[in-house]
Parts: sequence; C-alpha cells; structure tokens
Amino acid sequence: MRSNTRGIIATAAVAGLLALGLVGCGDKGAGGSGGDVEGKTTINWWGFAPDVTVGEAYVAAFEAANPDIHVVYKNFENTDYAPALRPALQSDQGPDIYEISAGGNVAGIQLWTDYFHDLTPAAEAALGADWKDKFAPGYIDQLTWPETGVLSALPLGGVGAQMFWYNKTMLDDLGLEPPEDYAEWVEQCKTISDAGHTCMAMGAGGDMTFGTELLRTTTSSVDTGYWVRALKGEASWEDPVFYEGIDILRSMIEDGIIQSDAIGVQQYPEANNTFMAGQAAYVQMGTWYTQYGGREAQIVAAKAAGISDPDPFVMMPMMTPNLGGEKPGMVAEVEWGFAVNPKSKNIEAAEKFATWFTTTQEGQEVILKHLDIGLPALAGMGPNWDEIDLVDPDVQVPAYKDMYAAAAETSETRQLHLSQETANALVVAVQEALATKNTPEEIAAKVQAAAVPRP
Amino acid sequence: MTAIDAPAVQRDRRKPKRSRMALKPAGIAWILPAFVLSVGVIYFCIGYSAVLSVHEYRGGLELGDAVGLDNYRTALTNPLFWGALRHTLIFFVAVSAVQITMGIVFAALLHSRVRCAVVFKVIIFLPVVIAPAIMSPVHRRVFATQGPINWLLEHSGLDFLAQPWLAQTSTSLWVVIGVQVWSSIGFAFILFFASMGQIDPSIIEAARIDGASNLRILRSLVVPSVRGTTIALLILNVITSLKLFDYPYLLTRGGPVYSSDFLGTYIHREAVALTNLGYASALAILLLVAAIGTAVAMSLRARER
Repeated sequence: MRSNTRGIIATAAVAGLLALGLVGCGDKGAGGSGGDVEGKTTINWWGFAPDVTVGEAYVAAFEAANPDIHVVYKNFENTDYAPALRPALQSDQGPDIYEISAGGNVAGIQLWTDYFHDLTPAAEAALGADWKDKFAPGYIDQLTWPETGVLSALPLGGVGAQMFWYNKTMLDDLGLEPPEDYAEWVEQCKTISDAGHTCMAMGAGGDMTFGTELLRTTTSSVDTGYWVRALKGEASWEDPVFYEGIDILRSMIEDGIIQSDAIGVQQYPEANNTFMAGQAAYVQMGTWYTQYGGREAQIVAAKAAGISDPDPFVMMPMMTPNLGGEKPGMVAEVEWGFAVNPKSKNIEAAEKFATWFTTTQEGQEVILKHLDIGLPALAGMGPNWDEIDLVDPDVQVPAYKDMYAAAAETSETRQLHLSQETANALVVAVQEALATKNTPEEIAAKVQAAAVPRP
Repeated sequence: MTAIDAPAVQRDRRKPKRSRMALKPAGIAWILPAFVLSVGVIYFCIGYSAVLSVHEYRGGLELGDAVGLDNYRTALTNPLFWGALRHTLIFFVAVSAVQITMGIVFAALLHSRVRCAVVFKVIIFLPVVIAPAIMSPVHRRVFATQGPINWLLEHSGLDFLAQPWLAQTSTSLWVVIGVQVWSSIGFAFILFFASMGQIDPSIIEAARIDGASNLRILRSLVVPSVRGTTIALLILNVITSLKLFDYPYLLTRGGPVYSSDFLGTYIHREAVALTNLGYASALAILLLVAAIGTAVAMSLRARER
C-alpha cells in the first residue's frame, strides 16, 4: 500500500473515531435519564440538602410507594451546588429534579429564572382548587417568581434561624443556665473557658454566610426588623443600628464569647465539628440542626468530627439573648422546594416525585421523621416525636416544640430579600469587622455601595 | 567551492526534499486528535470567553446586552483587580526568591557526598506530587490558632509570635506564600539537580585548585551555569502566579477582606458567587494577556542577554 493511501486511511479512521466519540457525547435527554431500569422510569435528583444518607432514605420511601419510578440522588456541598447545576440546566444533561430556595446564593430562586417549569397545575391536581391554602403561610409566594407568577418549586418544608444551640450536658456540669443577656453570657464564657472548653464555636471565614447571620442577630437585637428593611432597600446600611450591630459583633470576640480566630474558621466543617465533638458550649445554627438532637445522628456526626467513642450530649435550642436592647426572636421561610427541569424527558415522573413529598401526608411524614426539616410544608402537620430517638426526650421535646412554634409564628424572612451582591458585601463586612480596625461607618459605607436591594 | 561545483550542490540540496503531498495526510492523522482537542476545546473556550467579556451575561439562556469594553474598563478601574495583581507580584517575588535559592542549595548539597541522598531527594520532592486539595485541610490545621505552629512558638519561648495566621489581613497572604514555597521547592530542586549534572567537573576541579571556596564556586560557577534553568523557573513562576487559584481558594478563599485575593479567586468569585460571567470573562482575558505578555517579555529579555 502506498504511504499516502495509508495516511488517508489513518486520517479517516481517526476522524471516524472522533466522530463516534462526539456521538457518544450527544443528547441523551436531561440527566442522561429516560432509560428504563428493569422496566422503571429513572429520574435524577440534584440537591444541596439533605445529606446523602437522609436523601437515600427519602428515595427508598418514595420508591416503595411508587415502584414504577427509580430515583438517583446526587448531593453537592452548598458552594458547589449552583456552579454544577447552572451548566447542567443549560445543557440537555441536567437533572430531572433540582432544589430551589427562597433566596440567598446557594439555591435562591433568583438564580434559576430561565429554567422554571410551572408546577401550579401539578399542585392543583394534587390538592384541588384551594391548594395554596393547604401550605404553610407564605411558602408558595416565596417560591413563586414575582415577575412571571410561575411557581418554580413545591415546598418541602420551612427553616428557622437567628437562634443558637447549646450543650446542656456541659452547662449542667458547670452549673450554668442559658444566658438572658450579653453581660451574663460574657460571665458564663469565662467559666466555660476556665474549664477548658470553647464558649461558642463560630466560623465566619470563607464565603459562607454564617458570619453574616451572626451580624444580623446582633443588629436585630438593636432593632428587630431593620435588617429586612435594609435588604429591601427601604433603609440604608449607613445607619446607627447597623453600626451598633457591628460593634456588638466585635465585642463578642473581645469579651470571649466567640474565639479570636473565628474569621479563619469555617462554620462547616470546623465550627460544626467543634460543637459536635462536645468541645464547645454554644453554636449558632438553625432548625436544621434539630436532626443532631437524635442519638444516632449525633453519634455519626461526632465520629465524623474525630471522636472515636462519642457519648451523646443533650442538645438544646436557645433563643437569642438580649445582646443590644432586644431579644430579636427567630426568622423563618421556606427551606427549599423541588423544581422540575423543563428539559426533562420524564416530566410526569418528576412531577410525581415533587408532589408526593410536598402534597401528601405520607411524603411529608418521611421528611419530618428525619428532622432535617422540622417545619412542615403542609399546614397542620408536625414531627412524630414518639418515633424519634432523642438523647433526653423529656427535656428536648418541649424545647423543640417551642422552637418550631416560634419559627412558625414569625413573619420575618431569612434570605428571601438577600441578593448575591448584598450577600457578598455582608460576608466581607463581617471579615472587616473581625479582622481590621476599620470603623463601623467605613464598613457600612462599603456595604451600602455594593449592596443590591431585592424588594 | 568552484563555479563548476555549484549546480551539483544545488542538485544535492534538492535531493532530500520529498513531495509535500506524500507527507501531508500521515502528518494530519497524527496531529488530528491533539489539534481537535486544542482548537475545539481550549481555543474555542478562549474565543467564547472573549465574546462573553463584551456582554452583560448573568448565566441564563440569553447572552444579554453587548456592553463593548465596559467590563474591561470596570476591571481596570477596580481596586480589587489591582489588589489581586499586587498580591500576584508579591507572591511571584517571594516564592521565586525562596524557591530558587533553596532549590540551588539543596541541589548543590545533594551533588556532594551526602549519606542517604536518595531519602533526602524523596523528602524534598514529595510535596510536589501531593495535590493541594489533599494538603490544604492539613495546612489550615497547621496554621490554626490552636495549631502546631502556634504550639511550637508557645513552647519555645516565642509565644509573642503566636497569632491567628489565617484570620488576619496582615498574615493570610504570607500563609499562602509559605505553603506554595513548601510545595514547589522540590520542583526547583529537581531541575537544578539535573542542570548541575551538566556542569563539567573539570571546571569545578580547576576552581578548587585555584583555591576557590565552596561558596565562591557556587556563586561564580554553578549559579551562572544553571542560568537557563533559573529563567525557565521564573517564567513558570510568572504563569503560576498569574493563574494561581488552588491554595488561596482552599486556604483562605482570598480573604479576609481580599487580603489574599488573586486573579484566579477574583474571577471565580465573580463567575460563581456573583454570576457576573461577562465581567469574569473580561478578567480572564486580561489574565491571559498578562500571562502571555509577561512570558514572552521574559523570554525575549533572556535571549537578549
């Protein structure tokens, strides 16, 4: 064979192989799903919550009730969720089901406006004409994009925040009760530190917004309601209330409530591990933390934190003490909901998955059983405490019920009005407050310049 | 060469020439996979970034409005951009100085008769092959307030030096630099070690006979002899510094208050956290221009010398 003929054949062969490769990358439908597994329809669910083990329990319960559908759950870290999901939704390889929350920069509704599939007909078919009234107040509105009126997702449940958790076992050993005000907390922290423990595990580092939540707590303890007004653009960040909130945050380090290197620590995993390992008395987390009040979940978390043979402690919620003149109470909103990818090849199965968890009592009971979400989406439901193995139910159950009641009663939202730009500006503001000597006025001016209100 | 011989030489010169057509198909076949990969993936992405950089693109299905060079103007007037470049410059100078100095020293020491030289080579080179994603949690622990660095300082009478390394704007950049130095000295060492192996031993021997000390030999003979390696390392360090992302992102997220921010973390924040993809693309193009421009300038400068 002549050399140029061989070359042409080789070229054709390589081009053919490349073409085959490209064909292999072609359209398979959303999430690569649509194929049958033993006669079942397979759908893919992508989310930032719950943890894989809880997610798999959700899937097992759904598949038991819907044997014709097979679900594959893919869990992402909070910071990885949006970067992974955005290109997936743009392509034809995205998931059939994904998660949307009311606001914030993890899964906020404003991030996905191009990818909504309206779930109003599915909700109406499942719950009837008065379907909106059957959900907890506000949840449907929070997942409806105001510019188009499209219901982007069906709510799984709610989340409450602006509160703390404490290790009751440790406080009991030291003869302490949760503090009522700032001065009392400072005194307690001296006792806790003298005993060799961390008073409050706090991670304000990185680009997560936990430090921001603490700044919100200190600011709201000066003027409850100011924070949401500022997020909406109805109040300026250059305001004495915000200045005082920054001052209180700073003093919490100087007075030993939170550790001096909080800005170099991340809430997950570092601060979380410190608390779950029983080394800190307090941590700022929301209602999602209830799941660790259970004996087994806490043992798993403590082992993940490096404790080889953990002895579960009694984990209790604490409302915010009076830090700056007021006890601000909780904030709450829809935690997240199931959205359906409009490019899904299995929209019917995906809608079935979304509606089963959010509109049926059976599905809601599965969610509430794991306490990852304690506030139900459907009105009139709640966790069945008899089924949950708490460390000290006599003490924990009444406190948990009070916490959920407080979260259900509040009208102040958590992240609904938080734009990405404002979130980033506030993260930097916390860093400036804790790592520089800039005045509160200087810090607030930068927030005011960078923030984008979300009315 | 005589005039009579000239045509014969010309004929000889033509002889080795083979038909271009005969070579072309086989050549294409061999380079086609790499060509498709490069043009199809890398250069397409660069071109697409350039297109995005002149648009107001927030990551949806629509590209958004064309904004001309506004994104570039915004970048060039933004203090965060210049802050990231300043950190890049500090990083480049500090890392290059320590890496090259220590690389030469280790290479010279291990060219002398050292016992267990292989063990030392492995120890020096090991950090190069460990992924930043694996080591960063360890480094965060090492530099934590309750971590081993502060423990050592406190137990050696230097407790006044102990501090929250990752939590201060004054120290976070130096933590990133320190970790990068730790992870890259081995690379410089291995290059210098190979380069020093090319030096004619008789030159060193002659210098010794002339009474030159080890330090003088190192300074006046070895260092000039490995100049090519040094320049190559400097060019690599420029590119590494400009596109640095892994260690600052994993250790400090560019903070606190942007104190350890680099172009890589800045671009990532704009593209991912703020979904400001048009602006992030403009930053990426500026980074590309800076990397290519600096590398070319350094190569030309080295060639002139």
